[in-house]
Amino acid sequence: MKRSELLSRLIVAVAVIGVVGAPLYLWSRTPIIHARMAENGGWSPDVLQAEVGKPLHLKITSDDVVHGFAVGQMDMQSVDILPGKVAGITLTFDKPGIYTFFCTRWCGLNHWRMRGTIEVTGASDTIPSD
Amino acid sequence: MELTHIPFIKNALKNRYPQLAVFIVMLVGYIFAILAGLIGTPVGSHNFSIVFVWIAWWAILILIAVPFFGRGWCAVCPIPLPGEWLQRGAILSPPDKRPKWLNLRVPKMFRNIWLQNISFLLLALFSSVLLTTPNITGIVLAAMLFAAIGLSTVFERRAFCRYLCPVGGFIGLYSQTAPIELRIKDKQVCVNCEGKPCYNGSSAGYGCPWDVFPGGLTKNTYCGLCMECIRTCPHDNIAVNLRPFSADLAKPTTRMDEAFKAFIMLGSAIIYAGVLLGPWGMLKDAAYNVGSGAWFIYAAVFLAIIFIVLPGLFTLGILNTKNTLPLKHRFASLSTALIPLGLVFWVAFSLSFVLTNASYILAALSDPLGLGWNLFGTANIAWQPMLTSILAPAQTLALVGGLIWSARTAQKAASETHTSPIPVIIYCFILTAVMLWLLL
Repeated sequence: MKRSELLSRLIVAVAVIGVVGAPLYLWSRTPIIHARMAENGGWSPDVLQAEVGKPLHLKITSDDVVHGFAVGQMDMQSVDILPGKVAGITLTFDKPGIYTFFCTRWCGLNHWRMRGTIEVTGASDTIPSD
Repeated sequence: MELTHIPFIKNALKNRYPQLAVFIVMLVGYIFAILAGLIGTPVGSHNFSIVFVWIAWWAILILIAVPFFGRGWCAVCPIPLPGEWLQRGAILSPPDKRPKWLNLRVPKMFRNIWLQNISFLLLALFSSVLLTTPNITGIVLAAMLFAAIGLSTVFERRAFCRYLCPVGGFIGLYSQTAPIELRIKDKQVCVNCEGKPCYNGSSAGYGCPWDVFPGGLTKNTYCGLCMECIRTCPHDNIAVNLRPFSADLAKPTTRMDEAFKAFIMLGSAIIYAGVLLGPWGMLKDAAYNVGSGAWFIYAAVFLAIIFIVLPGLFTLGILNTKNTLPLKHRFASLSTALIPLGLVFWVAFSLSFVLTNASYILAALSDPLGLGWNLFGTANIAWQPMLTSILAPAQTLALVGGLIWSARTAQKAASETHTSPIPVIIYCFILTAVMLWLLL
């Protein structure tokens, strides 16, 4: 086989492996919470884990209509989750327990059912004092 | 004007490396579009696959590539490449030993564009879902790639491009209007040429992948501009020329598959303008809800308009023309006038949704997989229709211009078949009025 042919095959192979492998790798390494109307599945995943005192970074996107995100038992502003856009939210919990997050936008008939939970573990005193 | 007289152009076309570089970029883009469709956001307006294929690529194809470069897209299309490389056993020049694939000739009954007509119609019937659902777009793009690979291992040359590709059929039809052509310089040279390497291949290159003997080329329809014959011709007898627009239409077709292609494209543009751009929600619902009763009615009406209403009215129009030529022959020849009209219908229709949705391109470019990236700082650009003030005038200008263009073509076709062009011109006028009403 000629060197030019071999080189061309190599370039094509690297390009194809790269364009398949790189996006798949990045996609698999970026956990995203998907919001859908409750009748289409609601939050996915709908159970999250966190530790007291450790910031929980969430990336949330909507797969259909505008949703909102808020956590009960926390003093936070609701965040709008727009279709196709990714919203970044960071939460820090100071007490262990099970927190409920829910949709704050009237997104569909079963809007009120669109809920999920964050299971926060660890001791309250792990929070560094000011 | 012969473009291949210019040494830079000729060398760039003969050399395989510039083409290979473009091929690799295209193939990478195509595979990425498949992946983005399958793993990206399911929101169509933000998915790279939907935005780049159905807005960016379509705009380039129908507004620039087809009108000005004919089959220019086919020259760089990545779909046949993996199959062709497998079939040839090489990426560059012909190898010493070719792989032993079946290499069958496509059966004679399929050596026309009926399969392309059917494949286009299949996509057209599902278009509302296809154009808005990323994973369906991803699956269709992947299916085309694998179909091309499969056919390359069974049949000789580019069977997929020539006989099955849903896009290639209408590009071929409209490429006749383009101001560019690949032709031989001297017919006698081809007559005397031994071995016909442009068709059969040689050590310098492959036989025509499009199953065309360049010596017999009289129109653009089936020449994919792959430039293989420029490489194989031992007599330097192949040229790429600039020419007046629609030069090929002076020689009207006599083939029914090509005639019906013109009706399919014309009818689809009108129906799309009504369904996708019109104010009728019920129609949109029917087109979108594939498998429902309303969709079956929509599909039946779609097919009836294309195969019965439009050709039927056209036939009624030319029926009374006193002529000794068979009606079938006149039908096919006079349908040539619908080619420029169909092209401008698609241009006018495409302007609407391309200008309306073009702002999505920048957002999708910055976050192509929907992972929250902002690669170029454009991920959060808000949707904004572009150039809306010139949209209606541009569409009107295109449609009226197309009507005049079709009328001129009808005159030429009518003189070839010794009939009156008036019924065809009236037919084109009515359809243009309908399209204007739908778009404006």
